[in-house]
Amino acid sequence: MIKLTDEAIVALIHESKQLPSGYRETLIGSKMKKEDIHKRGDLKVIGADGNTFYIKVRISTLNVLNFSVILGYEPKETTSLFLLRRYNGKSHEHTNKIEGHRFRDFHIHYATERYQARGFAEETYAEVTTLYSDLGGALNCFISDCNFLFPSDEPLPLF
Amino acid sequence: MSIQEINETLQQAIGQQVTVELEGNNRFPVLTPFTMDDGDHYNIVLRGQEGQQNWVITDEGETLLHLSYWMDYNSLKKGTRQQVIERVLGQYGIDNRDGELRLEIKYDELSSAIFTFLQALTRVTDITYLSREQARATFLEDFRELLRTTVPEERLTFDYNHPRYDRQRIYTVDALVNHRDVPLYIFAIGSNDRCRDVTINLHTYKTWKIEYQSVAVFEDQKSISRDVLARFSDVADKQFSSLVSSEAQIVDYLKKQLGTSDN
Repeated sequence: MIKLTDEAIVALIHESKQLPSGYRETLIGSKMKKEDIHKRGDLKVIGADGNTFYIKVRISTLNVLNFSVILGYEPKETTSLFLLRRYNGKSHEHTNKIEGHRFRDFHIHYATERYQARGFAEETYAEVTTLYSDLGGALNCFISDCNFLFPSDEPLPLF
Repeated sequence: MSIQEINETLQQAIGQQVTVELEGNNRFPVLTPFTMDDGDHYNIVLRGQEGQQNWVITDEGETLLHLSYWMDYNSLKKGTRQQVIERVLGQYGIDNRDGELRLEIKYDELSSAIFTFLQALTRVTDITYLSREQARATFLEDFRELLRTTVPEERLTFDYNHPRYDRQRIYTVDALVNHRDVPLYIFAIGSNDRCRDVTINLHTYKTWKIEYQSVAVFEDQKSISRDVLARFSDVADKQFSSLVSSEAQIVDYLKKQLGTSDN
């Protein structure tokens, strides 16, 4: 079942989203919450068009290359998240099931219409990236790609 | 083609699908073709020293961490899902050490142990399906348990009927949260029929002109037919699409409504 078309996905990515003050501490800093051998940071952000988004960050304390920065979209009629993007480390291999590409590297998952149509998780398609090599870099890349606006009272991070 | 040729072809092909790399000190990632629903492969790492008999196969915590992308992590540690995971791990002799799944083996057992470990990981990640199927039987139990642990006992009433308008106990509210300006009427909805019943209840309450705020917790909103859900959405206030995946949000919402939120 197709929940969101490619056009709707692009529109949601392009919708500007204001980050709150202290977002970095919450997502990847001292305010992360510990759950067993993982740490997590979560933020809810309302976009300029009124849509609700969630940023979810996860990282393993056993392997710093095992991390994920996720952009989830919550449709108005439900609380079930649709995962628009996922920025992963390279702790595991990935295979694009339709194209048959298999790789083990830093990679970004993209929600696509064609994977939804085949019954896969919406964000199954992924591409290798060289834009980051750690969690902080992945968050910077995520912020830039997904049209987040920095808080006006905080200095821009050094990329 | 003889059975021997087929055997050799398959054994060679399957053998080539599994490779081992060396990363760091005595850490050997095992690469296999087995993937989760999203195309990410199961993370399997061997730890041990050359010449030693005692080795460990570990997922380095990745399997349960991966599930937390779609599900509330805490929901894996209680109720039906915890029982299912514990049973699977017990069957395969795997330890859950703070979220890291580990199997201690002798080096001689390596090949069979890798398959055992993979099979266990596959069954653990199938919890995403179990949450829709096996957990169905305990949906109401889980719903009530969540409310019991979140709402103070003196503010919570299960199976509430309005004392003035519903003496025949026909339009039951699954759970009432009281001692606030407007009471919360909370409904657990696990089927189309239940969704229709609750829609009728909400319309009836409106004819009574009583004040309330309705909250619906679905077992799996996606399983409700579009027409039924549309009619329900016309009269419902707050909805949570799934008890499993929305648990943290439900707790957060209830705490805010109770005025006990940390935020």
